[in-house]
Amino acid sequence: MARYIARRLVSSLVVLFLVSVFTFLIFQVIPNGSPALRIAGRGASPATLAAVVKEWGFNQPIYVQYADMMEKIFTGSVVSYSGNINVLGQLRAGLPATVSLAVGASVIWLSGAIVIGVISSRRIGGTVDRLMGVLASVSISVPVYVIGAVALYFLAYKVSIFPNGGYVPISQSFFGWLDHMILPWLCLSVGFIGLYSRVLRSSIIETEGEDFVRTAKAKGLTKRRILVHHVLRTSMIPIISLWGLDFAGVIGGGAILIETLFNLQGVGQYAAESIGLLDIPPIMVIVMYGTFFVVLLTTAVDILHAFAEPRVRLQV
Amino acid sequence: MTPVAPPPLLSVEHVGVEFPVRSSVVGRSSGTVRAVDDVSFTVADGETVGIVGESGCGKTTLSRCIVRLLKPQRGAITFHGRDITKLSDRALRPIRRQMQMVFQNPYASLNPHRRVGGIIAGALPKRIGSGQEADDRVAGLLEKVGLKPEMADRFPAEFSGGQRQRIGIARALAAEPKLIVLDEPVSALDVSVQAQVVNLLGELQEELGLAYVFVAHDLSVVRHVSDRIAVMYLGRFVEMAPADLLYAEPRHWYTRGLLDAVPTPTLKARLSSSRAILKGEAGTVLDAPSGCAFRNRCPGATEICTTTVPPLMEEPDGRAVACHHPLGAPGS
Amino acid sequence: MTGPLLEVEELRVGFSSDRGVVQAVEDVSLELDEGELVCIVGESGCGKSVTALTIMGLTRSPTTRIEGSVRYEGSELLDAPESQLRAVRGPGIAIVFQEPVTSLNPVQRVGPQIAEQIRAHTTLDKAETRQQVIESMRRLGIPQPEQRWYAYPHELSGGMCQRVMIAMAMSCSPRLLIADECTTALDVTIQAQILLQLRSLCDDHGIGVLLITHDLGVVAEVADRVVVLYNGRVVEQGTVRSIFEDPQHPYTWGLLGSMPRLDRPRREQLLTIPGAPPEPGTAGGGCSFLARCPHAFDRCLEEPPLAPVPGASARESARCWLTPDERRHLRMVGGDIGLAPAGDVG
Repeated sequence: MARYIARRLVSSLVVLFLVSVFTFLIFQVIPNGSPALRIAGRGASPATLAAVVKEWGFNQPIYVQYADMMEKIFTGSVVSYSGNINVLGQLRAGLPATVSLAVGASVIWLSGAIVIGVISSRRIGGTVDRLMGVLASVSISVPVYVIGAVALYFLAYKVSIFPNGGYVPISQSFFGWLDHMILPWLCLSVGFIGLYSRVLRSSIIETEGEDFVRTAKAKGLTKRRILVHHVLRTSMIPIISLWGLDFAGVIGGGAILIETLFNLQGVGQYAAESIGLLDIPPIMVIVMYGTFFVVLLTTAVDILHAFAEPRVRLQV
Repeated sequence: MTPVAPPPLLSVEHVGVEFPVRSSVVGRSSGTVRAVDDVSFTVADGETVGIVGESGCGKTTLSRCIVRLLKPQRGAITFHGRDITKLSDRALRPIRRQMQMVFQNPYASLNPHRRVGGIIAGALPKRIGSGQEADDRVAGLLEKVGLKPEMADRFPAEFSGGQRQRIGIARALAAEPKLIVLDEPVSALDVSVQAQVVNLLGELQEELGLAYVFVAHDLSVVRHVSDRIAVMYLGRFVEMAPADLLYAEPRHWYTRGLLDAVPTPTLKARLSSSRAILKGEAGTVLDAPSGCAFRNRCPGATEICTTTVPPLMEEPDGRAVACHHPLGAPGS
Repeated sequence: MTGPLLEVEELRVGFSSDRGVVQAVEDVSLELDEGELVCIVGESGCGKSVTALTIMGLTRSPTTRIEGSVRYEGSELLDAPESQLRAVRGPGIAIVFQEPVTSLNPVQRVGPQIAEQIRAHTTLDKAETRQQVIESMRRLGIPQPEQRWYAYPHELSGGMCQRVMIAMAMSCSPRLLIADECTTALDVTIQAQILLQLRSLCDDHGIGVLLITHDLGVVAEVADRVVVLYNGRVVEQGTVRSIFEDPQHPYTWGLLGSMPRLDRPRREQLLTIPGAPPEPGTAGGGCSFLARCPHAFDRCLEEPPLAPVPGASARESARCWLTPDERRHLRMVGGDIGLAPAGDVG
């Protein structure tokens, strides 16, 4: 086990390195990307521009600039091009909202998917199943910002059941926090529930055809025991793998649209703003932060998988 | 002066096959396992040699070695005077035509996307090309295996298991081989169909002078088709003998255990607790006991069996047995 | 206990799909007493597994049509509510399947799987259940059952898994055990051990065993009575002695003749049954064996009923228009029982 973790650690570091290089290079070649112009401001004189370039080191070779930025990131002194603010500080400030969003939404979408997936699989082809199928297609196809906008319009603007965006830290007020998070949670979850419930449904159907489920029936077990103890335990395994990846995505700042729409001031929103400004340091930091979570969670999911599925242990 | 026997068609000498073994989650490679250990035998022209054994004995691995689908780590396999274990893939190609293989699973060994005619034609020697002569050959082969020539246009999915196995045999014949290695060719077939395919194999051998290596776990079938039989246990040959002798007077305890266990369709063999049947399981090569691998199940095991692996000793009548206390020997 | 343990009467099972209804079982009737080992023998597509599964109620579904009667200890099972069926599965009738490793839950250890069955039908506590499981395993000859409790199915050999399956099936002391090709996937030496155990269940414990197989050798070794199935129908049934010494149906002769046998000298050619076993549900009119039978005559265009064999015991019957005298004459080919090659009909 120790060797396995060591191997994963090494490969994760390689991934992080490659991602950082790739991101850095992309933003070097994007047109209009010259940070010097942005920092200097409009209508800056050539002299000012030259001074900015020199001060920020934009005339250095690329690998030097890269090494420089990496050093600043790891010593915590990296600042953004726009506004000269410490990036890591900004990131830390956005964490509570993003983490709240990720944890709450993932719990909702996982439980919702299980309930709907199981219900659909009870009578395949029946009315409930077909209805769920249609709803799933709709929820997957409708863009999440449309769902969010519609929800905001009807539930926050027209009728003030929920606040119109913003974030209240849980330390400040529990109910305030809850109040502000419910809509973002639900809107983010809708698409995931649609997808996961269909995957779970197929997985359940496949598992129910297996020999060992037939044995469970032959043992005289109740339908519920067979479903929960034999069928779900096995058919949930693919869902858990998916969930790990998606959770990592959200906590890594991937829920950009929801965060921005609801003005949660989280990591995702920060990322969106930085991209708009082509502000490389925050982008680099957020990308690496996100990658770190993806790698962490995929490793955790793989290990969990090995525990849940003893046959896999031999191959891992 | 005794006539000198012609050199055998196939000669397997001290062949050994090893696989690496992983012992845990993390994949620490903890050594190798000898799936096939020091196996030697010969096959003469037109002869059928049967190899019989239970799961995990290594017979499938051995059969794959003979046609060079696997390369043995040890030993030599001589076919038509050339050691095929040393040859490159290119040098092997002309030799590969001469030995063909028929597999166990009639449902998996034919390409479902090709028509039957194409599958058989693909195995024809290159000089025949793809014109009228090829079509005639394919039609002839189909007839030879008891199918109608019109069936060449159909896909494998349209045939039953027994028919597919016949197509597999036709494909093997197309290459004009001298040797066919058959790995459990009838195990997946119903009893009534098995008999048809077994009869067919016998007819073809008579007509074409083919040699067979027939690998199976079903002793009754192997005895019916073979001239000589080798019994395999955990990677080694434990006994070899002409077919009738093996069944009438087995010399190895495992052979006798196997014969006793085979269900025979006669009322004289009712199972009762007084009948001596072999206890325990073979296990795998990985956890085989020291010395003779069979000793933990053998009623006749003694001290020497735990320390020394018995070598395969030749005996008169074309027999060989690997045992410190073979049955039927004076004083056993 | 009066009356047979299990009675199956005119069972018919059809599966409907887009392509229509496939009649897997056309007409199967049989009886089984306690302490008796009855073998159902047939080739692929004859409906033997479907019969076994239907007895357990495992073929119930919206797309299956089941008709006839299956009675266990006198009570009808085919239309019984699920709760009644559940109560019978385990303490009444238990089943062991062909593939032992996949028939066990792969992500659960084997000990708890056996315990699960016991707890579903009794009120024993955890410790008592574990005791019973270990006892069950020991009785089946599983070595070191206390340690084996913790094993996963894929860590055990096929033979050991099958013993676990049988231990699980026997854990609630059923009176009837159905073994569906349970030794087909095992090595022949392990098969002999398992068959011996099944035989002792009958002899020493009075359990009724219904053994499904395609191997007449197995039938000869352990059966008390035999039911031969072909194309979803019973074509012959009788005691094991009558099947091997006085078989009545050409299909049985064909099966007997086409097996290579260790106790006979090698013949040049095996006697075969021409053609191949039919796909389930492909019944034309007339006798279902008509296409493959060298002794067919004009009467065979009408399907024969399952008729008792004159002068034989009550449970011996055959589905064939030939008279017993004709049968005795036609079944001998060169001194052995077999199906004569076509064109060789005397």
